Formats: sequence, C-alpha cells, structure tokens
Amino acid sequence: MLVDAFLALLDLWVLVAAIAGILAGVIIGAIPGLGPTMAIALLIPVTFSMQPIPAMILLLGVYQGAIFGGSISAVLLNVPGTPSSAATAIDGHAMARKGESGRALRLALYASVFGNVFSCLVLMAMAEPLARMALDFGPAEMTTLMLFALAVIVLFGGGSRLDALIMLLVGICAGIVGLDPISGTPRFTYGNFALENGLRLIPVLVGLFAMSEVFVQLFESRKPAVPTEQIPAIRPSRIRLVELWRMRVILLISSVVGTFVGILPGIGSTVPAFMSYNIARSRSRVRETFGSGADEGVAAPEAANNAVTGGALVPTLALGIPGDAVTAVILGAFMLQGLAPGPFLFRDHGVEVYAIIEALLLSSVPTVIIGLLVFRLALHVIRIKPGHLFPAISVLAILGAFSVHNSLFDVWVMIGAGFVGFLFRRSGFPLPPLLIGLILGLPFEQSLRQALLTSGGSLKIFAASTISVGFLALTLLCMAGTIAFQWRSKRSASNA
Amino acid sequence: MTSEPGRTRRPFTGAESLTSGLLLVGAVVALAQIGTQIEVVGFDEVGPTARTVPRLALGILVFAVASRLVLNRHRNEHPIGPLGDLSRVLAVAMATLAAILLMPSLGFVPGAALVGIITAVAFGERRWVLALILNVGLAALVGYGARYGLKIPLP
Repeated sequence: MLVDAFLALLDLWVLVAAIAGILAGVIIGAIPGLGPTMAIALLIPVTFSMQPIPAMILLLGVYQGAIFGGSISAVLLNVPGTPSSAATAIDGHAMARKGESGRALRLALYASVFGNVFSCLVLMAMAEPLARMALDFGPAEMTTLMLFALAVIVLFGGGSRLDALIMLLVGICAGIVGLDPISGTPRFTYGNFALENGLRLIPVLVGLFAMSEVFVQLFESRKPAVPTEQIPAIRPSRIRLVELWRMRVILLISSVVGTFVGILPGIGSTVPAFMSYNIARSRSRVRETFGSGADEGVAAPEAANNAVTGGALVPTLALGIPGDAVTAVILGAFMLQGLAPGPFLFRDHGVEVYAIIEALLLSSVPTVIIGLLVFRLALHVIRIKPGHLFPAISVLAILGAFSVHNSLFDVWVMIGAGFVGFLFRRSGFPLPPLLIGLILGLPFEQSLRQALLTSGGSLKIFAASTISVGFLALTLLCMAGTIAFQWRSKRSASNA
Repeated sequence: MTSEPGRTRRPFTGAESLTSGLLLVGAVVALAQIGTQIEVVGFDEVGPTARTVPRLALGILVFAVASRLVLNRHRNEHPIGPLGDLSRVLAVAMATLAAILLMPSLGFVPGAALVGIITAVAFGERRWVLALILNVGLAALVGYGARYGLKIPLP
C-alpha cells in the first residue's frame, strides 16, 4: 500500500498543491492573529474542485507552514503569529535583538522540519493499527472512548476547567440542533427547514475562527499597533550540520513530547512547546543563557509545536476524534472530500490516506526551501494594515461559509457564530472545546443511545467489555489525578 | 481584591458576567422548551429518548454557568469596553447581514464589495478611493475566481 500511495503522489498537481499550501501557510502564519485554523477554514472552498489527495495536501501544507510561519513574527516582533510560537519568542526575539534574527529563523525552520518528520513517522506507524483496533468497537466502546476524549479536553486543555466544561457543553448543545440521530425527529429547529440539517461544521468554524477574529481586531483597533518599523534586519547567517547534531537529544525529546501530547485530544501545541522549552532549559549546561538568546531555546519549542501536527492527526484519522481546533477543521475538510475519518478510513481509503501522510513527510524538503526563501517576504506581509487585511478575511469568510452547501443560510450561521465567538473570546472562554463538543456531541449521543437501546436501558453494557471498562477507568483515573494534583498544589501553596 | 492589567475592579459588571448571564438565560430557555421543541416518537421509548441527552447537557450547562457566576463573584473581570468600539463591531455585523440579504438580488460581487468597504472604513481607512478600488477588486477577484475557477454557483 505504501508503494501505491507513493505512486499516487507522482502528479504535478500534488507538487503544486504542496508548494502552494506551505507558501500560503508560512505567510498567513507570520501575520499575528491569523493562525492555521483560520487559514485552513478560509482555504477549504479552494479544494472543492480538487482531487482528494492534492486537496488534503494543500490544507495540510497550510497547517505545517503556518506553525513554522508563527515563529517569524515571534522572532522578529516578539509577537507570536500563533499561540504555539510564544515559547519561541522568548529566545528567538532575544537573538533578533542581538542581530541574529537570521540564525534564529533558520534554527526554528530546521527544528520545525525535524519535529514534523518525527511526528509523521509516528503517525504512519500508529494510525492504522489504532484504526484496525477500533474496527472492533461497538456502541458501548465508542461511547466510553468519546467520554474519555471529552474528559481529557476539559481536564488537560489548559486554563479554567469550568470554562472548558461550559464551552464543551455549549458545543454539544449546538450539535443537538437538527434531526435526532436515532428517531429523525427535529430538535430545536423552530419549524425552520434549513435548521433540520443542523449547524454545519464549516460555517460554524469559519465564524468562530475567522469572523470572530475580524470582530476582535475591530474592537481592539484603537489599541497601539505592533511597531513594525522596529523589525530587526535579517542578516545572512549559516547553521552548520554539526550544530544541529549537538542538539539532537533535545530535538528528539521535544519531538517525542510534541507528538505524544498532540495525540491527547484538546491540548494543542502551546503546552508541548513550553514543556519542551522547560526541558531544554533544565537539561542545558548553560541555563543562564536561556531567555537571552539560547539556540536550544528556539529549537526545542519549534520541534515540539511542529511535532504536534502528526501527533494530533493520529486520533483524528484513526478514530475521528480531533486533537485540537486545527485538526477539527482538517477533519471537516476530510469529510468534505468523502474521506470520513474514523476506523473505516484506512480500510476504505488506505491509498489516499497513506499518500497524504507520505506527502506530509516529504513536504519537509519544500518547507526548508520555501522557509529560507520567504523570510524576507514575510517582513512585508507583517506590515499589511488591518484596514486592508481584515476586509479580505470578511469576504473570504462569506465565500467559505456559502460554498460548502451553496446556501446563504450557512452565511447567516457563520455571522452568528462569529459574533458568539467574539463574545466568548472577549470573556476569555476557550473556543477549541466548543468546536470539539460540536463535532463529538452527536456521535457521542448516537453511540450512547444505541448502546442503551441494545441493552434495554441497562447501564451494565458498559461493564460488559474490557475496552469500555478500560476507558471508563482511564477517565476516572484522569479525574482523580487532576483532583489530587490540585489538592496537593493548594496544600503546598498554603504551607508556603 | 487585586487589580490586574486590563481588568475592571467591580465584579458582575464585566464581559465574563455578561456572557455567562446570556448563556445561563439561553440554557434555561432551551431547557424549558425541550417539551415543545423535541417530539418523542413511540418506538423511541425503550432507554433514552431524543430528549434525554439534550436535557442532561442543558441541565449540566445551567449548573456549570451558575456555579461559574457564584464562584467568580469576587474576581476582577474584563471590562465590556467602550460603546464606540462595540458599535463598530455591531455596524460591521449588521452591514454583513444586510449584504447577505441583498446578495440574491445584487449578486455576490457587489454584496462582498460592500462588506469589504464597510469593514475597511470601520478599521479606520479614510482613503475612500483606495478602499473602494481595493475592495471592489478583491470582491471581483474572489467572486469570479470562485464562479469560473472553482465552479461555485454564487448568488
């Protein structure tokens, strides 16, 4: 299958899609506030007339490129293009202030590619066996698996757990609108025929991540802008192979952290980036250089946040459970291309999926070339005025919402989601749990009800299989662990 | 009560309480409407019905939002913000809705250009000719590109 998949990549359009995706991703990721989630959501309409393989390669190229692109503004402006680049900014910008921005950007690029290659290899090794295992799952096992995923999002997603729970429930409640998955009766449609299809994923996420950004930026547009005139010049520099070899252990550790934290749903790439930064600092013999321009302080978080790309795709492709907001968008894009993620994906579309994973692995080469070429271009992109940038995002958001089902109703939904997203972001509520609740809410309900219908309403069905008992035990363990950790932290804080 | 940068001093007057309050009202109303908005058909009566999960999810949501309001009653909140800033957001949202309403009769390109121009002006663009040229050009590029390049049947 791997050879067939490779042969499917020998197409000019695949190369064009990979290059276009990475280029767009690096440029969009470099603009503070525009992350990979918005970039992918806005580019989905471009893929409608494309074959599934180039279409997904384009979007995954955007993902890959945008994560690296975020480091450009982090290094040059000390303003992370994406939240996951915040850790890179600490030492990256310190290097830039010393006149070593070229070196910092090259380090970030090579570390990004290392993390990406590592996580793609893990994705290739883990996703299919996991999907094959999940083929044996019945409704009870799927219910407990999704319950575990939802619990992980709330417990380990970062920030306030109560806020994450509220957002998750809002997502689940939004998913209720439409036809009931078992009996087919309308729920909360208020007699509106268009609402019977429910709140569709793409318009909602374009609203939540693109339109709400326009509203947030508009609301804050009187705040002083990022001083783009003070961007340090990029001087020519070189990184020798031996310098990267000296960092091999920390690059490997960071990639492992990024990949395996990425596999857990809802955590995203910011947490592993900071985890890797702290590990790099604690392992370093010259800890005092961290914060003032240490090479490893740039390489470690970049390797980790790029390794998340492959890791987060493992549960997304194998189980249909998105790891974070970006993979939730990618999941939607896969579904639009007729490649529904989940246990059947590898069985029914193995060649396509492996071709996409191989392309993700091989795209490291164009990423290095494009990355080295566009450093200077990114300087000009960062200077684009909000008054020119955000009208374009508004227009693309309207097109993105309309084009999925050629429906103006979806554009209404997008605007509504945009305003709701604006309110939530202004109030500090996290959006990824909402999106994951919207995606997993309905399948969770469907599995739960199917399981209880087959058991005649008896909860014993969840204790009948080792797998579901295992997932329930894991869920309880995570909850108990979190409570115990919180209790210990509070106790040690009160003792101090 | 400590003051944090960008946060108001008075609890229950900030953006967090406003959003939580709106969520609470919405969830309570939805919970009250379950009986009328979700019909339960006969064969669905064994085990959970179409109302079970919505009732559970909305019930937990009401409890969680109410708990948040109570637990955070002494915390500083983000200010709702100046009315002028909020009115710019509402103006763009309303203009976009108006453009969508007009799209079936006007077409995508004029509607999208209108949204672009209003957004640009709301962002402080005062060079009207530039805003007009840029946004009409952008809307035309996106509209005709989508219609003829991507084969999307735009209004």
